[in-house]
Amino acid sequence: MTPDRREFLAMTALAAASAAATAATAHAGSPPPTAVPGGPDLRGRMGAGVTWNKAPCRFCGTGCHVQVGVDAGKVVAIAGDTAAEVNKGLLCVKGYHVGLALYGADRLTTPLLRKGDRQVPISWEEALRILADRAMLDPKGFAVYGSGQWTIPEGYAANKFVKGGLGHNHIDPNARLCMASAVTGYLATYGVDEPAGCFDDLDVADVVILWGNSPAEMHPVLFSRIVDRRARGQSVTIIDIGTRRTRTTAHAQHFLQFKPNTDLAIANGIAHLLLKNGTWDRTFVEKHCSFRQPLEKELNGKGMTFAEYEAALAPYTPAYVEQISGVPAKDIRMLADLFGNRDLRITSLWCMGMNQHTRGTAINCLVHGVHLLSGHFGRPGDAPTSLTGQPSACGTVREVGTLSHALPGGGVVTKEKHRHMAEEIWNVPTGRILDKPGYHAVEMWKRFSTPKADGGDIHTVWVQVTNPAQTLPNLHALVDPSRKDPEKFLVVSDVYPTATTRIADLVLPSAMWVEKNGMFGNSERRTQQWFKLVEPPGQARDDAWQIVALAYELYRRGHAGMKDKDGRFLFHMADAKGAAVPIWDFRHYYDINVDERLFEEYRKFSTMKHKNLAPYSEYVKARGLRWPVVEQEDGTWRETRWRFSESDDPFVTPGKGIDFYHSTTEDGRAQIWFNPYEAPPESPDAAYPFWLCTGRVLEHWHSGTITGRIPPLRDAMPQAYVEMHREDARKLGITNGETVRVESRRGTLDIPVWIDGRGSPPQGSLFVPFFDERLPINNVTLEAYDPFSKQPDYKKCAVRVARLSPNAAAPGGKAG
Amino acid sequence: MPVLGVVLTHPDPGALADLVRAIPGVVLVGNPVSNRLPAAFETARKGDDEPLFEALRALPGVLAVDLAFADFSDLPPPDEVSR
Ligand code: SF4
Repeated sequence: MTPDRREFLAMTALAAASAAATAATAHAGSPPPTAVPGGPDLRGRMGAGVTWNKAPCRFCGTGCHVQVGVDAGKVVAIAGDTAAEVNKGLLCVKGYHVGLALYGADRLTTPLLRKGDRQVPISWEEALRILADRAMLDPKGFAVYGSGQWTIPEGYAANKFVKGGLGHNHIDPNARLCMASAVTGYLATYGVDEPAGCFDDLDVADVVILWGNSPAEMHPVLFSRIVDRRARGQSVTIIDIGTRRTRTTAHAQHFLQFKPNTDLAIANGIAHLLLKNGTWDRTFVEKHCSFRQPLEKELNGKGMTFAEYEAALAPYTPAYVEQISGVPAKDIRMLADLFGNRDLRITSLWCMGMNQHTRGTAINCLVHGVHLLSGHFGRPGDAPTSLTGQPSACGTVREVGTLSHALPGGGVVTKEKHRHMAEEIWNVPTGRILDKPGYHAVEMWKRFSTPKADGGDIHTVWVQVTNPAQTLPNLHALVDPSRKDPEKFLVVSDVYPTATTRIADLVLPSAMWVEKNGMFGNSERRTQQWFKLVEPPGQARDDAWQIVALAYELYRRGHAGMKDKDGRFLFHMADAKGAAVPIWDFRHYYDINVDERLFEEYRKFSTMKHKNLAPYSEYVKARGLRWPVVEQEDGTWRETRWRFSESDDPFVTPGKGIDFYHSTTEDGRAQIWFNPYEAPPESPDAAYPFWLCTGRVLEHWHSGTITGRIPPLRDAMPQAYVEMHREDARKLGITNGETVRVESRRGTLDIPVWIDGRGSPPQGSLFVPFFDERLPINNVTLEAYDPFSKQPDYKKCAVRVARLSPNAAAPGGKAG
Repeated sequence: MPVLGVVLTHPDPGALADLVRAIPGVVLVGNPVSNRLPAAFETARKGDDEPLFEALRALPGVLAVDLAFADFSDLPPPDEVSR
């Protein structure tokens, strides 16, 4: 690099950093504009050839915006977007490497068909023929397994293809594994899914409670937004309620370490004290809430009186909760005192810790309940908010309704009214949409891994934008058997080789991120849009195009489901003059903006549950808008920060203050639940004496497919490990770095030990991250799942640890 | 040679500037804005980023290290950017 260029780049870097520092300071706590025009002025920076455009980061659910610098058809630089309210110009280590995500050496660039032990290149035409053969074989056995990394239009297209075209509901996304319990928690409490609060709460909360959540690693920019307030002299108390110490713990004033699965007891303990101390918000509760208790298989349970609620909570004294959870009684009192103080603003955050839980729906409901009971709801800074791990788990899964029971806009297949609305919008005959939910993720893969004669009625799974052969639990049961059954066919669309493409029968190369148009929806109901900026490599193509192209092949073969009521192709699109555009032919896919067409169609669903969206053109101008977005009298579009609160939500009846207008009891009330603590399905015992928890690390995006190909991230965290307490290691004679065998009743993994590493589990507990394809911890995990959300529990199962050396201690050496 | 724009969060960023100037790879240190200090760094290769961030995080009183800019126009050909 020449000295001049070096200096020039350094000045550009400093200018971007200074702009971010200014933007972050200026935006803190200020109200958002209706739409954010402009952005950092990077024009002319880095030379005249570089053009800059906005896009959301490809990685986590925080939804930071970046400015993407493109030169000669290639992404050459990334800057934080100072016009983006979420990140105010700042990015974490993953975000600023997002540009490198496109340029791994082994991008998939051509369709590949398995022939014996090899995967050989074939044409797209042949690939589509094979896919269509599989679908025609028995359409009801052809399932789609998608992702919270699908863009909104991609997920919408897949949903319409399966539910409106194939006429069944066997489509489910990987988000089933990450936030399905948050969905059922919101539904059971408010009657509608998605958080009422938003990230602005973090700018004003006095107390932030992290329930089994480490945002310092998983949502770093969001966490930086909280700790930044301390640097500005503001007081914000961070309480980390967790099963192990993490990077987040170092910033917390209080760390409350609980025994796995006992968070329900803690939440009940807080509610117990609020009642006992008389510090619950009687006015709020009497006006806005009802009480509810579980009823087997009924998400909405059954009502209970206040007296019954009080009696149910009676056993959860601080001493009893301490006994169950290990959290000292004084800390339970401290939490109850905080919630009992209405002068404080309290925000609760959670993510996988509460969701990947066989009692995930129950604990979600309880945390909402603590906020409602104490009246810490509906004011800025007072909010129970679940975070999503993926960039569009909210946008593509919850809002678009790609779960196997759902329809776009918050609809469900079991409700006739919702089905009719979808049939109307899709212009398909009445009755096209099946009234029975399809298979959820675990069930879909179980059926795929079961021989047809034994009830395994899924013969083909088409995977898009996810890596189930690494991320599903208990892989030996859910994935491996299908690979030995010649009747089962696995199709995978992805950008790089993964554990799943390697075992696939057919691999389809996909375009990623700014190689295609896209839209994401982040954790705070913010819908974001970007344009294609560079070409995908080789024959890699948009996932939505792949869906449309298969649908067209089926249409051509006479599949009745691929026709609408007028006999037109299900994805018929016309140009401005009304002429049909052959979008199934990739040469014409960008003749029109297919994303815009799909989004505008999807937008029609959004009014049903007051998740109103603005026209596509508004998102082009903005760095995302939080729904409901409603048109103002002056023709501008206004987003909503706080739902159900008259101060901000346009759908609250004037004068009501708070209005839960989708209440399950249809009386404007939210439900405060009682859910008892119950033991987990598997606990450590004499044979398997350790708890095993799995999770993520800062540097890697989920299964590491992308981040493993970004040298700085790979070098910073090159391989997985098992975190172990020093004392447990000493007792077993294990030294730091030694490879040990972690074994459960389902499988084993040989993996090096890291003592006093990134996180610190307590005695008797282990932690293993799941990003490393070479060290697949999901051979060990348990596929038990929550009865309502069907989300598996990756956070707790029983394992033992054995040394591999000849003088190894007996397997299952005593923990703790 | 990768160039990075970094924002450090610190209660007294003015006092931090001299410490940042002593970190290897620093090219420019900007003016503090409220509780944030912008700075530009150059690293010999991409893999050196993490030690740099660790060194910045380890400075006394630093609450957060965020990124604002990354140039990789000198990116090696794709066959060098592999697993
Ligand atoms: S916090 Fe999440 S969205 Fe923001 S830059 Fe990091 S990975 Fe991307």
